[in-house]
Amino acid sequence: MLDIDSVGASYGNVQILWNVSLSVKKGEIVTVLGPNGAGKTTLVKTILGLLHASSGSIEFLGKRIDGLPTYRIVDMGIALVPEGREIFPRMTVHENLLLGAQSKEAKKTKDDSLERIFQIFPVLKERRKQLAQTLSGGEQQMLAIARGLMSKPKLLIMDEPSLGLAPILVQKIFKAMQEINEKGVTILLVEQNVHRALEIASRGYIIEAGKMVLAGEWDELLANEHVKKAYLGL
Amino acid sequence: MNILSDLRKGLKTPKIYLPILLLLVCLLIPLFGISPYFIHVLAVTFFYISYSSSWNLLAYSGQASFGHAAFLGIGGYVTTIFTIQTSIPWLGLLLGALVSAFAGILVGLTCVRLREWFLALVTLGFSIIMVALTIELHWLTGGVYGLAVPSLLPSVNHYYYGMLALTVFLVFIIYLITKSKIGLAFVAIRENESEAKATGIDVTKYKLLAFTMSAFFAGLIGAFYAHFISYINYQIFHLDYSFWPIIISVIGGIATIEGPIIGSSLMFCIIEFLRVIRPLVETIDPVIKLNYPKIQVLLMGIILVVVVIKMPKGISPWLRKYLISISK
Repeated sequence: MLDIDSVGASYGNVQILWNVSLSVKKGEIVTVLGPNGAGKTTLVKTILGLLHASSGSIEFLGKRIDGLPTYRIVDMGIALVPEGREIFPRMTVHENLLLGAQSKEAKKTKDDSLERIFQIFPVLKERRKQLAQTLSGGEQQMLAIARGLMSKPKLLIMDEPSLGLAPILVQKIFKAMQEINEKGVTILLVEQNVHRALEIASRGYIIEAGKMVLAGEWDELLANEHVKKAYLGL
Repeated sequence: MNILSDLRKGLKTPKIYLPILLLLVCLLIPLFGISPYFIHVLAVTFFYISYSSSWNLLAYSGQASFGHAAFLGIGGYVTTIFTIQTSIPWLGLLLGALVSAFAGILVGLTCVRLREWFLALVTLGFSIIMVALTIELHWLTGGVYGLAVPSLLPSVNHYYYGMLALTVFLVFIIYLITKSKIGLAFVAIRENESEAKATGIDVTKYKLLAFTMSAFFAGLIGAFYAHFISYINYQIFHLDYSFWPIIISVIGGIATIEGPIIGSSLMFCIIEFLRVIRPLVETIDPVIKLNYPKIQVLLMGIILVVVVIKMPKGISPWLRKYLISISK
């Protein structure tokens, strides 16, 4: 579904990503793991076209998307739930959700999408008319995910959804992710929380200093010596 | 239709009666035999309400123009030249608005890539270019002497109603825009542009749309204003005309519908008040008598500074907060 082939990306003169390759198949949950500053968010930005790849290619559903403007990529079916719960704080929950439905197709089915989303996150239904800034951290993260779902994505990219959340909320969010995946949405999960991420993902990649250093099935990764030492503290 | 049901709901709440009452008063005023001077002043106030509203629509999308007079003037010149050349009345208004909107697209194309002061400089520069152009193209524009604008309406009362109708129309259209999907996208871009982009909003398209619509409205109101004051020269592109909508919107409340209405009304109350007390003040000192116009500007400046310090978001948000606090 998503095929990234030896992609490089830089901010100005500073190259961040070097020859990064990754693939996600339909229906999977794939996770990208790595420490702070490894280039995880840069990779996400490059997929979404917020940053242009300086080399390599990115294909989505067999079509090249590197070089396309972001809104076209979103139209094709990739949605991003950005890092740090970036919602629109001074708009209502409802308005935030509506903004997620930009493509013609998403607009047509938006009532339907709303209903499905409220099934997964009933608390958002209760708080529909509230300003988003009045939500708790966990609720804001749910709103960010829900907004991503409004575009009816085929692939949902989540950038560190567990960041800054209490463990119980992290559990809730990860459960919701599995639920979303079961409803047919492929998920690319970018995380630092290696343990949790490998619990729900089928495969994982490890990125360090802008390079992919390891790839494998979830159990392989958990058993890997490097992963154990560097990420799991075993 | 969400908007219609919102309106229906609105009719049941007391909030809607204030604008209706205000509109009724405005409709009845000329029937009370008020002096033509005052009618003229009110019509000019309406002009500033609609002109500032067009500027404010751009601000609604998080962009600021420091040379909005360019669009005002383009509208004015196009209708003037067209009406003189063809003697067809009224059509020039639409033509002026369209040419202005086209200029808006051109300026917007460069501006959507810029932010803050760069954007401010480009728009400001554009209005200054327009001054040079109108002076140089004197075979078309009359150069520094300007042009007499053919009249469309027989009396100041007619213009008063024309300006009122245009203002109500524009404010209402802008209200509808801000309540629509487009308005939602504008707010998202204003609040967090990179996030709006990541959500899948075509930021460039919407910013350009805001520029085009704002220029269209400014051109339309500029065209009617030219017929109203019956004379146009390069001074329509002057800084004054670019900065008034900013001052009015800042005082009334940036990116609110009622901001320009409150701002314009207040500014003209102040200007008229300063005019009325002029004979009194001038008796104090001959220096004051000589420099009174400058003192007027100075006083306006002081008021602006006080408003910005005391109510940084303008009067309207402050008033809303105040009304909520006393109703509790």
